Amino acid sequence: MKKVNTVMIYLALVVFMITCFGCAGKRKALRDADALAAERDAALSFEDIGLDDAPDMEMFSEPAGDLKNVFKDIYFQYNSAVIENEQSSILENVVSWMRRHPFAVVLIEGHCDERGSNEYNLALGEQRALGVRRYLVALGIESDRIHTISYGEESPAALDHNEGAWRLNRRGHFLIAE
Amino acid sequence: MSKNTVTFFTAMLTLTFSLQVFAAPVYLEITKKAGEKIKVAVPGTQKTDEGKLAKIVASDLELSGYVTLVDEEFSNDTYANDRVLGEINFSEWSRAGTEILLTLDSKVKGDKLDAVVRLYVAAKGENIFAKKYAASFKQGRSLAHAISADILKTLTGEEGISTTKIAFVSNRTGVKQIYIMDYDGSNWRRISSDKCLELSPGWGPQGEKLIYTSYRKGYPDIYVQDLSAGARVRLSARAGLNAFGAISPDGGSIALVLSKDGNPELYRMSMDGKKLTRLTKTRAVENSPCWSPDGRKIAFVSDKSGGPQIYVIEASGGKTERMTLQGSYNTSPSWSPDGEWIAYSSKIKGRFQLCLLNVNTKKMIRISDGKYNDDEPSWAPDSRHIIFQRTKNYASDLYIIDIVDRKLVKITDDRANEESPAWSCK
Repeated sequence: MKKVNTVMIYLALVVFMITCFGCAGKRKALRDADALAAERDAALSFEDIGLDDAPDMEMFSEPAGDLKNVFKDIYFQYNSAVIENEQSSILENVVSWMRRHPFAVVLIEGHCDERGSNEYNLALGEQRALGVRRYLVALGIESDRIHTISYGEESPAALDHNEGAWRLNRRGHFLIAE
Repeated sequence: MSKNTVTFFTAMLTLTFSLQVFAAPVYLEITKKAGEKIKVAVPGTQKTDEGKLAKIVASDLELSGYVTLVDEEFSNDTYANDRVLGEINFSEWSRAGTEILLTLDSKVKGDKLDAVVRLYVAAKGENIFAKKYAASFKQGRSLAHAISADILKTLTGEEGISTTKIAFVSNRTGVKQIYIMDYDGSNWRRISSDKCLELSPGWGPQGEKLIYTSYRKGYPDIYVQDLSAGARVRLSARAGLNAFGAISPDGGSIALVLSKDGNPELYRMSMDGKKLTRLTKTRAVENSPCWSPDGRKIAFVSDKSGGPQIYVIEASGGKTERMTLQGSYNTSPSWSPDGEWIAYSSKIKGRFQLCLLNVNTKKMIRISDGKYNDDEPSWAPDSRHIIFQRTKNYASDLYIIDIVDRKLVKITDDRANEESPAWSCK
């Protein structure tokens, strides 16, 4: 009988400890996520750059001819508005073109793939367009020459429902007014 | 203003005199334990114009969640017999388990519709409600919903949801545009003749106006539209994103998301558009605000901790509290009218599932079964029903779930995709 009791106490202790560590683990994960966010914010230690009123939509057109090779789409990771390193050469080409054409303004469309909340994606699309804008501004383009619009997941470039299509749909797309 | 005339549709109805005045006892409270349903017979649902009226009332009663219906064929046959004999055979009704007999005697004359509605407690043969209604034939459906509200008020003490409306987005024309319909899926109406993308509809507190995002000028701007007059005001057209407008319970302010300052942030704006207060300052994406029913707090989505999570902030700004502590993708909050719950969508095991979060304890209850993707919940004014979009094979439709008995009703058909439902507050 005594043996049984001891076993029970040990068992209770083990359950108690697992429960405690489980909670602590969850809390720690949450703390880590918040710490990570704070770190990310610190790394991006720029001030928000306010937007200027955009010209009428009719002023903008799709990049045509040689411009197609300059204003290529910028692709993003799932749920991310971070500009990936491999996109930087495209943006450098955009910057050098914009320096040579000082009266041109651009409109950056932010798009998302179809997965997830429509509303979150609408805001994320804007964040992507703003991410591209920040990058161009950091490289010296005047902020009032860069406008943004989000279509969220409402205007996909590829209509299939697979990774290939989703990758093409998570994009920043340029329109130009010269 | 009487509650019958709250919505603009029912305002057009003429509810004429009551035949007799009864002290209306609340049948549910006197006779039932919590969760038990009242067994109601609704005869006269034949496939005639008159029968249609009874059919809609029967459907309303069932959708309320408080009623089960007596077998339709039995009800129709028994009442037909009663009419031949000129007397209601209450013992026959009682034998079939009927607790309440609802008789709806209506007549269509040209474009006019008259109806007399009576409620009887079958066991005693006691008449507890009688009222005469009149409307134009075209308003028959709205009349049926108004009758249902009166009956539910008599039986349960609450008017229920039969006269409420749903605003939603459909791509029926090939473009996502906003429509309004009755809560049961009937009476679709486009709110504008534009051919542009429209998103995120929300209601004013009296059900008199809609707020939404439209691309009609090319960019996403927020509009408010008076539903009876049709007048539309462009409320916010600042540079960048203007979206997710939500009207406060007192109708005086709106919560919205703007990116004019260089990042999508949450703001509060006076209804006249003049006073604007910034509520958040993050590097993250804020979206989908909704008000607490007392108007003191705003729930919203932010991905400042990595993935999207639900937070609550004081409506005047200041302290932000994280509400969702489980899962990496939680979106689409909707605060229940009784203040106790926030319904939202959570990605669990790869699927979006509806969950309820107790505002005080932060305890989470999952209500989806995980077979499909469920998103965009919106509470009915009864704090019992939720409308949401369910996506199967990349096609979405609207469903209503009764969170007490988990009964699910699909209310749109497969012709097009419907999403982003918003239940009217009244």
